[in-house]
Amino acid sequence: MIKITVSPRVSTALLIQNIIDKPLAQMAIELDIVGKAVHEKTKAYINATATERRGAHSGDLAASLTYKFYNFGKRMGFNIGKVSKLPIYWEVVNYGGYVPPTLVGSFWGNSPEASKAGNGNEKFIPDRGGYLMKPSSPIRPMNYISYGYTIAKLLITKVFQKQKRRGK
Amino acid sequence: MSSSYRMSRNLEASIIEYLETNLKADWRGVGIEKSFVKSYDVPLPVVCVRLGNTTHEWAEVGTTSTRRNALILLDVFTTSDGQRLDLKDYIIEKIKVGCPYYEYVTSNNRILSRTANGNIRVLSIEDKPLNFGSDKSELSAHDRFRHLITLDVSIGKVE
Repeated sequence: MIKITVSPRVSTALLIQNIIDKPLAQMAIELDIVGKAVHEKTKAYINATATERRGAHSGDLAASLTYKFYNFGKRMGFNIGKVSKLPIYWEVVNYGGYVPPTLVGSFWGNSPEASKAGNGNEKFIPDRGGYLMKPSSPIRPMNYISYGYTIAKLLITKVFQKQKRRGK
Repeated sequence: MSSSYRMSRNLEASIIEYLETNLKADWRGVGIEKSFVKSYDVPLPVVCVRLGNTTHEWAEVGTTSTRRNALILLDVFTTSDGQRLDLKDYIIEKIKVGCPYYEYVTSNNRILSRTANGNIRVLSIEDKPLNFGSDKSELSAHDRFRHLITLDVSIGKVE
């Protein structure tokens, strides 16, 4: 979902230098720290935004965001979130919009209440024997992927600046 | 009593004005909205312009001056796949060259005046179709043919 790849320009001189004082290895360590920070911040952002809007949240979406760092020498980076492991509503929460209008289910066994539309904090559970859910307004986009990218860009710039200073 | 927009609203309003002027000249009936929820109440096609996350980086060592980069999210809601592709390409073509940055003075939610003060530079553009993975007939009309354009913009000013 959030995919960051860094391809350092590797010269022979740098490769030799890497054997001596390991700048690329250091960069990988720093990039991993950045990745973990972006992962944590994105999760916190999702939970904070959900709490702000609904007063509570299940935490399922944030908890489903996985983190994986990879380093192939010339290419290193990290992936946050794997679509197959995310809850089905990840897209509509991120981009906003209506959930499919013919949704049948319940709020822990209870029917949807018009007076609580948009203000309730119970989880809607799809269930064949439930109630027909007709959302009256679209879900506002959370744009947590854009948030993750913004944070990643900011932190990675700092890693590069550090790397550049070291190279001088 | 009049008041002035701060930088974020100036940024958003300048882009809305620029796109609105162009769309009026070259397209028929394309609406521009600032509110995501309101976009669903207006007829298609419609473009929703929103300011997303903003980063503030220190401009120089030893001072508290910052430079901001803002994310602008353009949600393009259309009536068909063809229109979606044409409209998003048109918007990208117009916006990639940047646009004037205005400072607005308003009163009672109406713009009294605006002064040009530099340009908005587009640093990067990303666009992607939004496909919710469901049968299109199950989606609302606004969600069937959607596209998201993400712009990274800066006005290059030190604050």
